[in-house]
Amino acid sequence: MSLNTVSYYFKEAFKSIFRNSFLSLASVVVVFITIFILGVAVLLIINASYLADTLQNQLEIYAYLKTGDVSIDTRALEDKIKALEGVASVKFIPKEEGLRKIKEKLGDRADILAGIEERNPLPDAYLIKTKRPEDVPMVGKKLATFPEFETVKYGQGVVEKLLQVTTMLKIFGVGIISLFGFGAVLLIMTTIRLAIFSRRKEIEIARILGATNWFVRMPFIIEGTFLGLTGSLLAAVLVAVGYYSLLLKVSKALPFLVLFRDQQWLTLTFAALVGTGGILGVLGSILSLNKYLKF
Amino acid sequence: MLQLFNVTKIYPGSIKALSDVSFKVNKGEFVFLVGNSGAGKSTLLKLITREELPTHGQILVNGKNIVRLRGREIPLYRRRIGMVFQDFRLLPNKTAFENVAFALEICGLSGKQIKERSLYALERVGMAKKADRFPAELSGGEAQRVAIARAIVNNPILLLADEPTGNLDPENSLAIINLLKEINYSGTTVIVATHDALIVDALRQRVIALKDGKIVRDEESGAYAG
Repeated sequence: MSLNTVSYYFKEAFKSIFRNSFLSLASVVVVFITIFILGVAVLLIINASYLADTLQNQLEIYAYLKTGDVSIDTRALEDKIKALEGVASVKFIPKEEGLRKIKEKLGDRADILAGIEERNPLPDAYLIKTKRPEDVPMVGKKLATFPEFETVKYGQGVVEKLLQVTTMLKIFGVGIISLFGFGAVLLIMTTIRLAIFSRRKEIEIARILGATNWFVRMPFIIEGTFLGLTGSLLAAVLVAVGYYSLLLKVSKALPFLVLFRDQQWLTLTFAALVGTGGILGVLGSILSLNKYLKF
Repeated sequence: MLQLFNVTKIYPGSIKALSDVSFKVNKGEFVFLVGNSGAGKSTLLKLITREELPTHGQILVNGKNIVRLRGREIPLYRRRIGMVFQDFRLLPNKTAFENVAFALEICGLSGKQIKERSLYALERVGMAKKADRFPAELSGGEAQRVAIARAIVNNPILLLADEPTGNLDPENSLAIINLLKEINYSGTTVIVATHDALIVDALRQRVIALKDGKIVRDEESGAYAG
């Protein structure tokens, strides 16, 4: 394949895009919407799974001692907790440390706690970790029967709810994206069909002059791919800019909020979005060629 | 160079276009294929260009059975066959030069070769001066010359013309048929399908007459009417 042939392919492809500018634009817009929704859904799913993972790893039980009861023997109590089935570790957290942890989580906003140290309202607590996440409810319930504890807290159902939301998001996302993806392919097919139709005389002549199937098909495949890539590139840029500015704002205002920020994976995700648009374009043009360009 | 063996073509709906046609054309020959519309001339040319397959029979071109060509061999085969039509079939958005160059672009030639060979082909048909004109700016005779330039730019072994003078006045018709004869002099085998008695009688070449899909006459130095 000579340079001449390649430039012919691209020239014909772009001529055709501008000849049917309205349909070309419509194809780009539909791919854009599809990939935008896909991008938002993927980021939501990634973050929900990430949050669920993070919480899963943090599955801990906090057992708060009754305040003002000085008669409690903390050592003996610790041994009693350790003896429970499923308990992996027990750690005593004095109220001073509890306050320090809260301050850490608040970051810049820790000033709202100013002056609270003198009359620390927090109780002393035990941090209990279980061997398996499933053991958390059982151990938690047993601890709640101890007379020494005022309250026992563990992630009651939070993780389960989050995983449910993620699943729903996935089903809903797949539905909407399939719908729009289908629409995008159909629209690209129509655009290419029109391009084939407006060039049918040229195709017929090219055939008689000995053009190969690839010579005839390439301009249309390039046209479809370009439409798909343009739409998806615009969408991916918008999603990326949106997500990064969200990350920037969140890390300043709400530092305790867990957001996915692995640079490598995010780059890969955005690249995959662009690639998906390209695939929609190639698919649309090949389907159209197979349907309307018989050999 | 071209041999047909008992070729029959039946189109869907039992329309018999050709019936048991056999003939042989030697290298460097000039042949008129005559007959009324529907006699089977166009079908015969379409079989030779492999646009259609015969229902029965075999077709040999340069010793190769083109009925057995595989799909991806067909484009390569067609590059060695030149084709001229009644309606010229030039691309309206390309100049005369670009129309001729298109045949070479399809073959993947380099820009320099395309330019040299296209200009030479246009010179051979006497259209070098109007290389930059668009088809709409050319007369019928001029447009057909450009179409002939496109058909010969690849140095075909066989040049086929389907009613090449059908859209031309008598004066231009004679000029075009003389041009085809000139190309034949330089060694290219030429087959002209026509029902234009004027050009057949002017040249007195071999005539193969078709009627209802059958050969009714095959005569050296023949006239249109037998």
